[in-house]
This record gives sequence, structure tokens and C-alpha cells, in this order.
Amino acid sequence: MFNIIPRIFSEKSQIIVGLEIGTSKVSAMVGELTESGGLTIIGGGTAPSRGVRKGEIVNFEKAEEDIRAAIVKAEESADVEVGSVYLGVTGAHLRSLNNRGFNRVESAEHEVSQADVEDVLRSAKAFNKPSENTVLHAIRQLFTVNGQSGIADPVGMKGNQLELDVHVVHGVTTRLQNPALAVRGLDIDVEELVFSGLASSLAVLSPEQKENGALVIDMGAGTTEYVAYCNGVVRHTGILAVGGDHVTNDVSYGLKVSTHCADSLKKKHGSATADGALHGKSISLPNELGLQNKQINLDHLHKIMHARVEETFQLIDAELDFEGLHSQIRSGVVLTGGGARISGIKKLAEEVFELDAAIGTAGSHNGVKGLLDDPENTHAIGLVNYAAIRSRRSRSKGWFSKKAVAA
Amino acid sequence: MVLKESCGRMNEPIEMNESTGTGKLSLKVFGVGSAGCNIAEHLQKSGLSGAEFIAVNTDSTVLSRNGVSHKMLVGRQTTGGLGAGGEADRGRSAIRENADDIEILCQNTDLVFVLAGLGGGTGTGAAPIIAARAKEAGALVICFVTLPFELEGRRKEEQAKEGLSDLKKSADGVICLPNQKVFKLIDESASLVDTFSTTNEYVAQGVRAIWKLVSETGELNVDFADLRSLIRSRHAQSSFATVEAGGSHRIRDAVDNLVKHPLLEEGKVLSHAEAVLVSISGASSLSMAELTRLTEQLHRHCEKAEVKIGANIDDTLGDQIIVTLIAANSEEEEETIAPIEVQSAPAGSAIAESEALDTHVEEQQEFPTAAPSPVGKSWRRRGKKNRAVHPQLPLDMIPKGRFDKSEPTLYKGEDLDVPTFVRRGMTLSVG
Ligand SMILES: Nc1ncnc2c1ncn2[C@@H]1O[C@H](COP(=O)(O)OP(=O)(O)OP(=O)(O)O)[C@@H](O)[C@H]1O
Ligand SMILES: Nc1nc2c(ncn2[C@@H]2O[C@H](COP(=O)(O)OP(=O)(O)O)[C@@H](O)[C@H]2O)c(=O)[nH]1
Ligand SMILES: [Mg+2]
Ligand SMILES: [Mg+2]
Repeated sequence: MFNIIPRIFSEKSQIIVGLEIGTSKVSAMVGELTESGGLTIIGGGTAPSRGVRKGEIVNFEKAEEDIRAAIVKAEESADVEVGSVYLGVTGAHLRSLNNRGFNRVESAEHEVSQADVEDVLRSAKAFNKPSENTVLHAIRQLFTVNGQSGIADPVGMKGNQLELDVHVVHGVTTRLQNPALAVRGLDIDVEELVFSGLASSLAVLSPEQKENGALVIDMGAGTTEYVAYCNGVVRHTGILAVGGDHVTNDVSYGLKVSTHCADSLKKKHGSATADGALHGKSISLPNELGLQNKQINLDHLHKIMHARVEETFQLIDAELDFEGLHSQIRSGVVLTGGGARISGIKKLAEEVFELDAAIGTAGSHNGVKGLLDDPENTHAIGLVNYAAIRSRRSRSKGWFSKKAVAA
Repeated sequence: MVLKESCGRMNEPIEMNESTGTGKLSLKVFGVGSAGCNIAEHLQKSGLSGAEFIAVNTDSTVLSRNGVSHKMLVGRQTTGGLGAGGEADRGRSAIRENADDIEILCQNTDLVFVLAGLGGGTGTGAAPIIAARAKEAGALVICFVTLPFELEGRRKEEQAKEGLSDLKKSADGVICLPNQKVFKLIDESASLVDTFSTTNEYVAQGVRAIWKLVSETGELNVDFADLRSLIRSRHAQSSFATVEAGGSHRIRDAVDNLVKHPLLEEGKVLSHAEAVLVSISGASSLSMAELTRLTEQLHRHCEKAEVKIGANIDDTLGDQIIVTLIAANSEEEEETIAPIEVQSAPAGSAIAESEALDTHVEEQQEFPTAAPSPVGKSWRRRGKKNRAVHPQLPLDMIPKGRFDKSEPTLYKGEDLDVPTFVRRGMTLSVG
């Protein structure tokens, strides 16, 4: 699985690092992209995160320590030096919308050129956004040339009116800058900020799934991001500042146990489905001596968890309905992030969305198996994917190609 | 071996409650030496439910005056009931004569507290051996010891240090209270006896707090396993302090007082702590939000530490809360709080930078918060489930736990930080 060949033959390759500053952990994943476009995840490091709440940094000092710890581990694991990262960002302040740009094709032959594409993209990015916000992404959907919609690449086509639909993600500038500041504080460059939900979706979805339509839900500790693809393009994104921490908090409150204990109950005995089969069943809290047992009603535990996860899914489901995307998501729901480990979550997702559901990992990648199998790592690995897509695209266009530079 | 009178028979078996496995923890408290016996007596008088007290001494006269329910004169052969004469060696030999009795006594006991004043002969020599045997018998052993005043001289100080290091090896945890520090807490003109009784009360508070923490089914439980793992994994010295506070800022005041507390070396102990156990008692008005605040505020002062918190409801307290904190330090860190302190002031630039960042965080927190609906469009539910019932709880009772401090997650005006089952009005019926 670990593809060592490119390293041995020292084909020119590029190291890409994806960094997630998550609520429960900081994760840095290292990818090696060969000149021919092959991507291998060659290492990664994770450190517990203490300075983040609901996906955003609240304590810089701690966050910086934790980021450094994750980077150091990643460097050791991949045997590289990390100089820059692709940084995932999230937070309750993010907003998204679909927008359409227009452009008149002015050239003599009315043939769409690369310059026309850039112009229409610029136009698509223009919308009435709050002054304190910055556009994070304007993700291309499809072009329309003289009323003919659904065109992926219009360059070279004849026509005089070019339109482009984009999915825009924007957020409060200062809040977007915070994680970048923390990273730069460690003398590490930030190549690009990427919406974390988008990154996760890139790691878990196959091209077929994107084409057939899929909904990716990354449930982390502090936030839940979701991204819907239809016909191969991103149609809807969102984030709820609700995650595993909420599940734990609900359990802690409902069962009157410490957060620590609630967390372990959630992981060891929890379930997102409460079918009543456990009615009246209880367990004793694990205690070395078997003394002073606190009885935990499993039915209650499951009901509390069910309520929280169901609600979160219902909010997302309602948005899909509102956007009219439900029928276009034919590949179903892919659950990722640590929350995907909640027992019974797949079944619950199937019930709420009335779609097939699966747990998503980066398992289809080449690389260190242990890293690819954890649903927690999809965000950071997806950042590497994002960078690789960027890099391949720019190479194919010859913009920054190494050959061009060498020539 | 236990004397109801100071001259009772040595081989008479003692009848004591033993751990029955019914779910109640069993506790034995050994007061060792004069100081230890005095503290035990004070503790028993002031009440510690469910505990068995045993006064252990080499001095039969002192023992006979002690009011603790079970007494044990040890080392008859060695000392003839005349005391250890301030020699720890004699204290050691004395207890060896009766060490097996101690071990038998401690069988089926969950928790053993050993109380002693270090520096003298009996406490210093015998306490480590009692601790070792109790541990052998399977109990979790925590020692509460005092260290001598500076004016008591070098010899006692040296002896106390040795005793402390022995204790650390034999007990699961040692909680240490230097008499000198207590001196700082009370009026300068106080007599030695006054100071002793203050120390006794402090130790008693510490014992009570730990016992409360693990024995009572608190609102928020720290169980015995927590205590065990906190203390056992660290062969280290712990410090503790108790504070009381009332009024609307009681949490903040309590934390402030803890941080300033001389027994915690004005916060130094906290910043070096590896693990912190907190017990809070208050009337039923004590809210989840307050507990969260307490944890969070404490966390700022002991960043490295794992903090465990337990709460007890005691309606006799009225407006007051009592907070007891036990901080465990690793050996390594102990070195850094050794008598001669090296002030490692951070470089000026580093301070400036961290201040700048702090302001930044403030700015972020003050950021006006729009309703964080991700799409800004209304949504509808597909009508499968009943709508959430808006909570009717008093505001400070809305359980937001760790989200108390963060920007609330509002969705269509609903605060998603409040547990879903609460908002849905679900009842968790027993059965
Ligand atoms: N077996 C399990 N059962 C239930 N929950 C689990 C399990 N394993 C992990 N989790 C939960 O997953 C969450 C961590 O997931 P993840 O690492 O994806 O979050 P994160 O990236 O740190 O947070 P975020 O992306 O929200 O900032 C925690 O809330 C954790 O309790
Ligand atoms: N807190 C407290 N400390 C005491 C008391 N009596 C003595 N001490 C301290 O305990 C140390 C040991 O004294 P003591 O218990 O009399 O010695 P032992 O009986 O031989 O162990 C002394 O050096 C004092 O610092 C007391 O009643 N209370
Ligand atoms: Mg995450
Ligand atoms: Mg997330």
C-alpha cells in the first residue's frame, strides 16, 4: 500500500501538507505528489487540541503549542520538513450561496477563450456580501453558453453569451484570519485556506459518487460540516456549530456524570439509535473495585444521543429539502469525522435522510494504511487532495509547470 | 492490639466494620504519633461519617488522654510505652512489632488515611511502615502529614524530610502541610498551640473533602477509581487548600482565593500541578454553569493539569460554597518549586507578543454575532418529529456545560447548545 517507488526513483515530486486545527485534535497530513500526478499520503501527525472551541481558536497559546506538536509528529512520521500548509477553516460565521456570473464574449469569432472564463468567474464572485466578509471559495459548477447549460469546459466553443454558476463560501475576514495567524506565528506559511467540509468531501468521495450526487457530513467534536454534490459539482455547503462535544455534554447533563465519564460512555456504550429494546437495561459505571457503582440506564444514554444526532441530521435534511436537492443525491450520505464512529449513526442517517448511508474514510488513497482508515483524518487528507487538484490543474495549463520554468 | 484503655490486652481481635462489598466504601483513619492522634481526635469529634479511627502511639500516657475510639499502643518491647523520644529509628522498630496487626486491620478496607506530624519519632518512623502494610493489604493509602516549624530546628526538619521521602515510597499519595505555611495564615501573635489546632483543622478539612468526594454520591461524581488513578500514578507530593465563598461572584472569589492561598504557594503549586482534584459543596442552587465556570477558571491556573471535579449538595450551606482543591505534582516538577526559586522571566518580546495575541482573542470574542444559520434561509422540517419545546428552566440552569463560554450556537433563534432532549422536553423516566 505504501507506495515507495516514486521516492526510490526520485521522480520529481512535491510535498503537500494539509493542516486541520480541529476542536479535539490538530492533524497534519503529508502527501507526496509526483510529477505524473500520483498522490501518496506518506505520513501524518496528530496532537490533542486544547485551544479550539466549535472549530475556532479561542486560546492562541495553546493552539500554537498543539499545532507545533502535530507538525513535529508529521515531520517525523513523513521524514520531511514542513514549510507550508494548506489550512482547513470552519466556524459558525461561514455562509454559502449559489451565484451566477455573466460575460459577453467579445472576440471577433465569438469563440470562448480562457480570458472569457476568467471574466465570467470574476463576475460570478460578485454578490452582495457583508463588508466584513471575505470570499473563501467560488467553486465552479457548470457553464452555460448561449442558453445551453451543463457545460463543463466552454473554451473553444462558439457563442456570445457565457454564464457560470458558482458555489460561494464566505466568512468573517478576521475569523478566517485567526487560524492562519496561529500557523504563521510558528513560521509556517499558509498556502491557502480551504473550507473544511469541502476538504473532507474530497477525501471520501469517488468521482462516480460526485457524479451521482452525494452528501458528505463531517461530524467533528465542535462542528459539523456538510457538502452536497450533484452532477459532479458542489451544490450546497453548510456548517452547524454542533458536534461530538454536544453529544458528550448532553450525556453528561442527562446522566449526571462528569464530562470525562460521559465521553467514555458515549464511545463505549453509546448509540445514535434508540429502539427501546434496551428498556430498563442498565450498566454499572466501570470502577476498578466494583464498588460504589453508579447505574447508567442505557436506554437513557441512547435516547439522549439519538435526540442530538437526529436533530443535527434533521437540520441538514431540511436544508437539502429547501434547496430541492434531495432527489439528486443518488449515491447517498457519507459520514466522516470522529462522529462517524458513533454506533448506529449509519442507520440513523438512513432513517432521517431516507437515503443510503456509509462511513467515509480516505481508504481509497495510496499511503500509510493506519492514517487512511481513520474517519478523523479525512479533513487533513482532503486538504492534500485539494492542493493536488490545484497543482495538477495548473500544471496541465502549463502555468507553473516545472518544465516551463526550466526551459 | 487495640486498646479501649491505654493498657488493654494486645492480642485481642478488634471488631470493626469491614468492607462488605455492598457498594459502600470502607475507610480507616490512622493517627500516628502525638500530632497524628490529635488530628484524628479532632476529625472524629468534628465528624467523618462511616470512618473508623485508630490512634497509634508509642507513648501510653499520651495515648490514654486521647479520645479516639480505637487505640493501639505499639512497640511495647522497644519503647515500653514511653514514647520514641523523638527518634524516628525507634518509631520504626516500635511499629515493626505490630506491623502484621496493621496489615490484618487493613484487610477489606478500601481507603486508608494515615495522619502524622513529621519531625518527631513515632509519626516519622511509623507512618511509612503503616502506609506500606495498609497498601499491602490492598487499600488505597493517602497520608496527610505536617512538616515542622522552622523554629523547631534542623534536626527535626531533616528527620521530617526523610520521613516524607519514605512515605512517598510507601503510600499511594502524600498530602503535605507545612506548619510554617499555616503560620502565615493566622495572626502572628498566635501561640504554637493555636497554630497546631489550625493545622489540625486544615488537615481535617482535607480529609473530609477527599472522603466526601469519593464516598458521597455527589451530583457530579468523582469516584474512587478517579482518586486512585490520580494519586497512584504519581509517587508525588500533593498540596491542598480549602476556601469558602458566597455572593454572586462566589465562583470567581473562590478561584481567586485558591490561587492566592499560601498553602498552594500563591498559585505556584497550581501552575506546576499535574493533576487537580476539586470538590465543591453548595446548596442546591449550585448550578451546572457554576461548575463549568469553576473548571474553566481553574484550568487557566493549572494548564498542565488534568482537572477532576466533584460536587456535593449540602443545603445547610445557604449561599456559601466550599471548594477544596488537591493538587498532585510530579517529582520532576517538585524540583522546580524547591526552596531556592529561579525566576525564569520570559523575554520581553515574548510577553509583548502573547499580550498582542490575547487582545486578538478578545477582539474575536467581542465580534458581533449574527445568527449563525449557514444558509440564511428558512428551513422546514419534514414533519416527522415533534418540534422542540422551549426550555422553561431558569436561565442559569440551562445546561450548556462546556459551551458556557463560547459563542452560542443559535439556529432560527434556538440555542442548540442546550441539550436536545431538554429542548424537546423529553423525560428520562426511571425504569
Ligand atoms: N467511538 C466513538 N463514538 C462516539 N464518538 C466518538 C468516537 N470516537 C470519537 N468520537 C468523537 O468524535 C469527535 C472527534 O472527532 P474529530 O477528530 O473528527 O473532531 P475534530 O476534527 O477535532 O473537531 P472539529 O472538526 O469539530 O473541529 C469527538 O467528539 C469524539 O468524542
Ligand atoms: N498540627 C499539629 N502538629 C503537631 C502537633 N503536635 C506536634 N506537632 C508537629 O508534629 C511534629 C511531630 O511531633 P509529635 O507528633 O509529637 O511526634 P511523635 O509523636 O514522636 O511522632 C512536631 O515537630 C510538630 O511540628 C499537633 O497537635 N498538631
Ligand atoms: Mg474535524
Ligand atoms: Mg468539523
